[in-house]
Amino acid sequence: MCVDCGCDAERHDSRRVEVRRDLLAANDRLAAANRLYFAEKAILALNLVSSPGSGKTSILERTVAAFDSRPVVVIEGDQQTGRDAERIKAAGAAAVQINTGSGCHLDARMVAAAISELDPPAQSCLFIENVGNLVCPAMFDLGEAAKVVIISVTEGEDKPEKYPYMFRAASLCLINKIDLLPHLDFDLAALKASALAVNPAMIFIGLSARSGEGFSGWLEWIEAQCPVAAKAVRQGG
Amino acid sequence: MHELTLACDMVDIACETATREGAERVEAIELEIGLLSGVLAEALIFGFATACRGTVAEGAGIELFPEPGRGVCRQCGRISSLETFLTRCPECGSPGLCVSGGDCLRLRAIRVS
Ligand SMILES: Nc1nc2c(ncn2[C@@H]2O[C@H](COP(=O)(O)OP(=O)(O)OP(=O)(O)O)[C@@H](O)[C@H]2O)c(=O)[nH]1
Ligand SMILES: [Mg+2]
Ligand SMILES: [Zn+2]
Repeated sequence: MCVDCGCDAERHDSRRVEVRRDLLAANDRLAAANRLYFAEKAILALNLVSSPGSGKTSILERTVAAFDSRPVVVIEGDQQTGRDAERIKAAGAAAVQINTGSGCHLDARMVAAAISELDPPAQSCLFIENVGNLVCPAMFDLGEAAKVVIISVTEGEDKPEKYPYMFRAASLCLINKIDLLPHLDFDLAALKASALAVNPAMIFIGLSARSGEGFSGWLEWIEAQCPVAAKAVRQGG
Repeated sequence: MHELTLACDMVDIACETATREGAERVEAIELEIGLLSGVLAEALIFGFATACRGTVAEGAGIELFPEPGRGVCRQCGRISSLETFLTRCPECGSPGLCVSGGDCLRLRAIRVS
């Protein structure tokens, strides 16, 4: 038996080196740095995730126009094109586009680079629109305060159970396109049951980026997430 | 395909370690993979085959050590094995157990020469 590893060979030239490195931790370290930056500047960072076309950009366009208690800045992630960032700028907020190329998710390093370009003001609200994908973005912490998962009523009610990682990782579920409900046989109760089965703490807000219905609940939720320290500063001054 | 990102990190760590050890080649990589990590072993191995090209880890074998999922019930505290996130507590039937194991991806060791 060899002395290196106990294998059957008489001896061999290879040896074993302990590494013990968590591969998911590389991104986590960078995310922690982003989180510290947000805390120091009392910035509320929210990571918006959904499948392609659920209405992330449409919701942000309306949010930019309606949320007036803090400055709003946006990081847009897409594989290609600068279209979504252009839409946000047209709606009136500063925005930076990240193109991931073949990449299917944003990671903490990309967000760090976008932050340095965007230089968000203290006490602002930073929305990060992730690449449309219900799988990979769940694995990558960007340093956000919360993940918001968006599902539109034209998708299946059983999406949460099909994509449990994402629905577990999110704190809030926005149910978009409710203006279409009269034309569909979408079962809202079934969707909520499916999401609660993977994440019993999930909160739901139904809204429509088209009509604006339900937006007050969403804006109140955002307001309630704003860092406490910043609130105290605002109230004090 | 978030596995490609992870495969690149894996190559970097293996190569750094080998260089630090004064080794010329990485022959094998021992990888602990949690069954609830959300990482697909096949995709990771496929990504590794691409990412290792032209490095000292080129052609290294990957030895997998699967780690079963474990969960703690938020209601009664019972620890049980968790096959999916939909598994309910076998004691009280509560859903949404808190994951307490099997959610990591760790490069345990490498074999160098
Ligand atoms: N009827 C209706 N249509 C909507 C609503 N919100 C978005 N849409 C439409 O849905 C389509 C996709 O909207 P986007 O906002 O681009 O969706 P997205 O999630 O940003 O898409 P990606 O960035 O490509 O993943 C567009 O045609 C929108 O006009 C809504 O509340 N009601
Ligand atoms: Mg978009
Ligand atoms: Zn229980």
